[in-house]
Amino acid sequence: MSTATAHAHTDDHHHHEESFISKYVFSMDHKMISKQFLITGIIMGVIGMAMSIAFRLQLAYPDTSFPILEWLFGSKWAPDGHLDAGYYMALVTMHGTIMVFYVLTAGLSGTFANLLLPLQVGARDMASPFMNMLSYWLFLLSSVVLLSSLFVETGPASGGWTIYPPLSALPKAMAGSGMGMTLWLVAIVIFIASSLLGGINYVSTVLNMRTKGMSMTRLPLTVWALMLTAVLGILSFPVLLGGGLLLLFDRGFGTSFYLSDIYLGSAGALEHTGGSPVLFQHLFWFLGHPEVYIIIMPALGITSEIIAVNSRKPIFGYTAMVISLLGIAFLSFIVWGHHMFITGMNPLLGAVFLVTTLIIAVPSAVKTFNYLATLWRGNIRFTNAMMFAIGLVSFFISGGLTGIFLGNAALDIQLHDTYFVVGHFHIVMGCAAIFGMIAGIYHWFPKMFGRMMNKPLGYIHFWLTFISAYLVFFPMHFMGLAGVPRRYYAFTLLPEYNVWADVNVLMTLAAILGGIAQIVFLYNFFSSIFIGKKATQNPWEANTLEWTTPVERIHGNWPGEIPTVYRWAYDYSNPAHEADFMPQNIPDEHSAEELFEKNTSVDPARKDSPVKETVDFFTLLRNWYKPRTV
Amino acid sequence: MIFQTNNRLKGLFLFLGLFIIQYSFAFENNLKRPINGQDGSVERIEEGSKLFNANCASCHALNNKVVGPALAGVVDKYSEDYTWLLSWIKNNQKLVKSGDERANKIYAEYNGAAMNIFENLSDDQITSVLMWIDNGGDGGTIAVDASVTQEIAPVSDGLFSKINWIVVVMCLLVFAVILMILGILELVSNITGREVINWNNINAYMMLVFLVGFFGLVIYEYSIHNQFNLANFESASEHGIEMDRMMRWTWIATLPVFFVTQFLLFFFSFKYRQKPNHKAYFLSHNNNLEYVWTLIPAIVLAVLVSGGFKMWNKVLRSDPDGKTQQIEVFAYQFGWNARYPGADGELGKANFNLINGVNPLGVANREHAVELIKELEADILSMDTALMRLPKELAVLKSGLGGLVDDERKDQLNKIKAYTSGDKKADLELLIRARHTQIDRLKKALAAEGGMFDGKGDDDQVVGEIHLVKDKPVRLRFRARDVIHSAYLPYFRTQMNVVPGLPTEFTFTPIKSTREMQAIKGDPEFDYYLVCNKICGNAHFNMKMKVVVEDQASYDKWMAEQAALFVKKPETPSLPTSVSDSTSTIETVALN
Repeated sequence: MSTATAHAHTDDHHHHEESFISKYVFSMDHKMISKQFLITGIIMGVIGMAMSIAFRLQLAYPDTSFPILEWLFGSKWAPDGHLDAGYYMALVTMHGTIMVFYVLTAGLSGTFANLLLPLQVGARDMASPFMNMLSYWLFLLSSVVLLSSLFVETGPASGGWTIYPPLSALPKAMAGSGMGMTLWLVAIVIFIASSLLGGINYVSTVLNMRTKGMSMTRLPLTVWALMLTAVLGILSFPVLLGGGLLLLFDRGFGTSFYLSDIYLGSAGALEHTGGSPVLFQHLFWFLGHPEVYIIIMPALGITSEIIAVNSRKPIFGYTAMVISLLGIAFLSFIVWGHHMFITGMNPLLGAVFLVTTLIIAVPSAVKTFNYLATLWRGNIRFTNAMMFAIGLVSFFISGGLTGIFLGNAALDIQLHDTYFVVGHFHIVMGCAAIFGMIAGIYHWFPKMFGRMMNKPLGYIHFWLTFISAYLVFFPMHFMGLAGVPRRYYAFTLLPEYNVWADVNVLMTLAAILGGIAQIVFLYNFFSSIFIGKKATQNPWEANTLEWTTPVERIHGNWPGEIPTVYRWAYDYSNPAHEADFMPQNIPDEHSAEELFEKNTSVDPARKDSPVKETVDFFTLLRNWYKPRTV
Repeated sequence: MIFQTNNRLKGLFLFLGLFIIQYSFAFENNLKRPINGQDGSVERIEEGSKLFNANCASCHALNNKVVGPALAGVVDKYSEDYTWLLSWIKNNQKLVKSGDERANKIYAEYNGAAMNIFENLSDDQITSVLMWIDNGGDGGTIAVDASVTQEIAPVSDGLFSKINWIVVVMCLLVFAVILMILGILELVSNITGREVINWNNINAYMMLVFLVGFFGLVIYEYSIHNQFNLANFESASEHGIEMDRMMRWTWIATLPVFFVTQFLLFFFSFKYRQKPNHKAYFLSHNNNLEYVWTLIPAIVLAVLVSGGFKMWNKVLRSDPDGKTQQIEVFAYQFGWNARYPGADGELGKANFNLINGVNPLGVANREHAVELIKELEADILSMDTALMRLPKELAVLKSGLGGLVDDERKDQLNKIKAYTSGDKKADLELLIRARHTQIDRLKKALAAEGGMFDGKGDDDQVVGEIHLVKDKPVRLRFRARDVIHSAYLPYFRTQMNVVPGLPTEFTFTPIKSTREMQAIKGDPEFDYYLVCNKICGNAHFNMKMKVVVEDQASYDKWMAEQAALFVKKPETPSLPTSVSDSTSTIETVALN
């Protein structure tokens, strides 16, 4: 890291002295902010995962005493090493909240949008570095507020991460709905502010600050994905903010937005009338569903980039990939009702959401097939990042297909809120997104820290994580098909479900194995920052602009002028060039200017394509069996 | 947990062996002493067991805390003051409000989460429950669990029954050795200048190995765990049969895609691994191919959508004429009740303002409402007194601070804080205001003449389990008391959220009696259950109600045993006056 400061002096434009505080703490440099997001995200991820292992222990061994739980949570929440039923709910709630918002939204988008947007579009920094810094500090503040709720007397929020009122609105309905819930709401309000500041920044950076020659059609897919993610966040997070504020009013000021006709055992008939608990669900899922895509789209963008680089092939169907992203982004706003099929809403409304939900499967399917086509006849390098990207595609297929069951309103009557749902979303958005994030970390680690991560350790990490993830979440589908409800602390009064005792043990052991694999990763990550092998400027031989910056990460990104872009980001193994990659900033040998002018009007992807438009599908299919060498 | 044994498999197998012996002594009388001056008998304990399972088991266990405290030893603890215990069980809220110190202490300890009111139980019935508790529970629950162990057997291989810490330590050691070997290899490759291990090839082959292992897992899982798939037991409801068919078609549409795409993913990864001096095939796009794989999923999904669309409308709009038999299902923290319409075949109106210990569902009845107003007024009076007592209580607490140290002092200070911060006062004032509002509403409704109090609810029967007649359609109307619950009937492929303030409903036809399902499942102990499937609080996992499907004769017999809620009174002439919105919830149609 010391070399970075040394290099900063050679830069004419940015030669001010930086103190420790302005460089590492209140930094306005997008690369440092991305590292802050990443490390905060990793810490939150470790906490979230530890929570999941704690409640998985309860599910697998409901009658065994684990002194470690008492040591961790205290004798109030885990007396004699048995997790308390209410605290089990609290852990489930906090696990969901942390993973969805703090790891996979802020940790993933925050890290990679900050790192990649300016570097890949060719900008010296974000559109508003100060807002960017504010975004991180609000995120950190929000994390601290959320974690502080763990130490409240009545415990953290425990009504599920979806915090449906009236349960979350009435402190007398559940201990966790007291102070813990207030802190949860405050944390989310701060989080939304952070997310909006970041999102506006990302969008304006991409739209306004692209370098010369970087047309929208030449943007790497990571940039497309991250930008559309930011758009989704900007449009949907304010709705949750509104919903959350109304809930705060119901809790604190006696309003009745979500409350009606309630008799509580401890308080008798309440005054509230006229509200609708289902209104909150509509507001929540209007964010909640785009949120799923806020989580998965950056991961898909990262995967597109990594698969293309490491297959040494252009991403198959760039235009189709962009259109799919746009389609997913649009459709994600009109499918939220599929989380609420059985809330008693009008059957007509349910039918509409059924149709839109299954339509969104089409662009997702296109993306999957395009990934497969990109791998086909490639020259695949199994870097750590590539392995995780392949893992993501596998999860995306498995989880996507089970989504077809749940999106069908009629089948959802039976499967709603069973373990089938848990298995589905953990695979398609939990595992897939976290694999995208980890792939990104392995891929851009040299860009972040100027060093390489240990490859063999990365392989161990991948295989253990991949196998354990499938072992944890795959059997859940069968539990769901057998009608086992989720969020059950134990099967005390439902001994029929005790047939799953062994499966629960298997899943818990697999989860512990997955946890151990993450220790390998953490060791690899933190040790490589200091003792990893020194990275070269373009270790993966990639085309995008971030690899044209010096290894030392300087303020302003490029020491001289910002490079001009002459081609799209995916010119890998182009027969027109000798090398199997051609960075975006290298002018063509003939006439740089002329080509640049020409390429802006012609689809650059089309220019060198050896496959003629007239080749029909069946010829192509036949060619699969007769590989040609180019 | 009702019985405290080591619930690991070994323990269960042991019980399986001793099952018959245990069962014969299930209700052996171990009572140490008479309770409330009454001697325990086998009949009393048996009665207590039934009552406990119906009323208490969702929140209490004998030996560990669920929502409420563990109950073993409760008789010893309160042997001096048995009447207090009885009144606590019957109506803990009354005690709390009367300023009873012990009651308030328990209340505070459980963060103000009150126990449900059991005024419907007599002193003798409660004593029976306590006898059962004092007797150390029963073998009844063991019998249930033992029947389950038989089903566990085929899945169990005993391998995962507990964490073997030795194995864990050995794994760590192996990992350390691997790390060392990797370090050495890296040193060697640094010295010689070329990679010792071709990681690329290793991982390419690993992809193949994983592919085989993954498909192996899928097939193993399918063969082992799919035996519990509900679709294997024919649906117990009419629409469920069609739903199972749709499920099958969805499997047929998705499974081939799963196998083909996963195969291609890992096979391509293996086949096209990096080879020296090889260049990838430059292929940026192919429109025809992309059209094809956009159109095919679109067509398949369109078929599934149209099927689901039809099915969905059929299931949710299956009662157009509204002549189906209606049963109200009522959810509360943490249990269920059902209400049958009684002789007049019509469910009376109900309202949350009418709920109390004797009328847990708030069914409309004029006399009850008048009675309730009196009760509420008394309640307000007692709370007013409590309000006035506050300064005095604070003074007592403060004066008691003197001799206390450490934790005791801290507790005392916490208590004082509740007074000085005004929380206690605000809480009471809020409750008093709510009672006044409630009384206003009740008075308004009473004055409205007719409307809610049409006497149709007087013959309604409130019961703790649902009985249904085979092959007869039934319309369940759901109502929640406090928070959102969800009524899940897996064997009937039926689920609907139960939302306070928003009545919902679901119509279906049961086509398999409990007996028939017992035969299909090969389990004579099997029963249908309605369980809660929306997180609703700490004892969410214990919320269930038995559902019995039987023939008309047994249904009629059971029905005849159920008492009407209120004794039939001559009806007041009903006038076409409408009551305010808040008092007619049951008639609201679920549209949002």
